[in-house]
Amino acid sequence: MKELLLEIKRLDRFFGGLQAVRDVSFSVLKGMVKAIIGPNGAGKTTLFNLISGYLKPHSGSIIFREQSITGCKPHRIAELGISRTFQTTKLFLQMTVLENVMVGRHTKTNSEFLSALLNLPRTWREEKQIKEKAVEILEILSLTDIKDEYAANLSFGQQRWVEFARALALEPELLLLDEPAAGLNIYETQEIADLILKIREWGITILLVEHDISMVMDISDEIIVLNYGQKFAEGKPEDIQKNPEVITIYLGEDNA
Amino acid sequence: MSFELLFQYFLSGITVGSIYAIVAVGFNIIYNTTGIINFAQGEFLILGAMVGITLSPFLPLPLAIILAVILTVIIGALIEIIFIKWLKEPSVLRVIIITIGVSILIREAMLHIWDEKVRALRYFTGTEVSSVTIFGAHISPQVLWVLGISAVIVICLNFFFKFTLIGRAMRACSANKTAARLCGINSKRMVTFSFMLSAGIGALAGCAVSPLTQTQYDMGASLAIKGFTAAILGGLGNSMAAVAAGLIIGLLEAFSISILPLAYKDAVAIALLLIILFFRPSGLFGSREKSALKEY
Ligand SMILES: Nc1ncnc2c1ncn2[C@@H]1O[C@H](COP(=O)(O)OP(=O)(O)OP(=O)(O)O)[C@@H](O)[C@H]1O
Ligand SMILES: [Mg+2]
Repeated sequence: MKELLLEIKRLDRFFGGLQAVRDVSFSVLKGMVKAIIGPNGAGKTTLFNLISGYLKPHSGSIIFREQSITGCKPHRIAELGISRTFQTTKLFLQMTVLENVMVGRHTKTNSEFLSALLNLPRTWREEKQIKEKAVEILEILSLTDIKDEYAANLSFGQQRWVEFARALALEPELLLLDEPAAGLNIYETQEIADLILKIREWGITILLVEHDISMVMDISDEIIVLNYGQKFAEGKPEDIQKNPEVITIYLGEDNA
Repeated sequence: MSFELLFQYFLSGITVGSIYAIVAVGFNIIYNTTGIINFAQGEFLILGAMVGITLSPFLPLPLAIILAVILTVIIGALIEIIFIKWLKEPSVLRVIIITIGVSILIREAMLHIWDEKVRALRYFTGTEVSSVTIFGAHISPQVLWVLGISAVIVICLNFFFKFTLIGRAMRACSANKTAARLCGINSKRMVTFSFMLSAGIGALAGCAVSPLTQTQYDMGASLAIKGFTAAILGGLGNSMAAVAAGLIIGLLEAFSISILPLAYKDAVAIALLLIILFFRPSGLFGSREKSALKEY
């Protein structure tokens, strides 16, 4: 029996009169790739923002590893082991690739100002360890060549990868990926899909929002369909693919 | 004008200039993590110097200065915690007005504690009459102390922001707050750190310059204006450029004395500030795109 990692219970979130997330419940088991699909504006990013603490839900609860994280601050949730990438990459543009990844390891270190100041040898050792680990992650993702480039000078695709590297540096238990293939060509999309499967092999659970349906069908164990903020369907890729209502939502009324 | 005199002007220019530079760097540290200008920055220098002056009769000078810095750091932290931290997503304007209020508060408190008397910390080495001769110009050893301490502050800060965990975390916050929080950085705590850091370097600079310029409770405002001019001239947020800009302003001021009446000294910096704000708001060294890059 697989272990329960994340449980979302009856989540609601409004923006003024608009209900962006409506009574959404689902759970994510350890080790799986779960995808959330749905048309533009369905509330997918909002759902991610709720899980990672950037938005507070108006009602409902979020339970991670049997502990409620509802309403926790983002940095606290990161400490607990949830990391994410953003729909539009958010790198530290004025920092190098290596520095970006090193910042990603922040939670794995002691960041108390005073103790850092009072125990310089340990602070220095820690700094070295962070760097070694960051270099290692960059190597695994084959980013070593660009490690001293400023993030601002990278291509769109490279920025994606660096954002992945930074998210992995946190050694998360759960990784939220918001449209990792958006704006990439077929070849690059395949690379990202391979990377996601590799990450899963490392034991990291993945929750994925993606518009590229063929990629979603290829790599996910389970799929949730959101529409107008509501969970519309949930199941294995084969079942979702066969569901005529999902096809209607996705392709629009006229194509059905 | 003789070479010695020119050199004398030059040295006095870079001495005050280096203090403006430290004030400007203090502005930038807080600006980078919060997007606000802390108008109490000048008060940190005066407060640090006053505490140092008060402690110096009882303690060895280095110890008095260290304690003055520590106390100012604590006050910097308290100011942020009491007046800013608890605000929920305050507007930049609101926080700036708060810092102006805080600067008045500190100034009034200093007036009560230390009255209006002009005081000075004792010279770090020698007395007011000792001098060293460099290229024929006689200068106080304290000038060398000020320049040395300013240089050390700037170098240490560079090291801090590049090679330490907290320094990098502060830069990350200034580069992209959302992403910094994702990495587990408590951005509110970084704001407190930034106030502590700029209070600390302010206090140290205030102590260093006190024997030369002397210290009075209300001198912070004019330092803040000069430092602000330097920060703007360098392009807000760019600390290295601010150092250069601080030195430029110090030099301009020093040489203006040879053409303009002494009373116009302060006007030089303010005129410069207005000119920059009109014609190059992104600073001499800053580019428009780069300042647009900042997200707040
Ligand atoms: N901060 C916000 N303030 C107001 N409305 C918002 C906010 N964020 C999202 N919304 C609205 O909530 C709804 C859901 O948006 P969301 O970004 O979650 O959709 P999405 O499923 O991620 O869409 P896309 O596929 O385009 O990324 C949209 O109607 C959007 O306009
Ligand atoms: Mg989205």
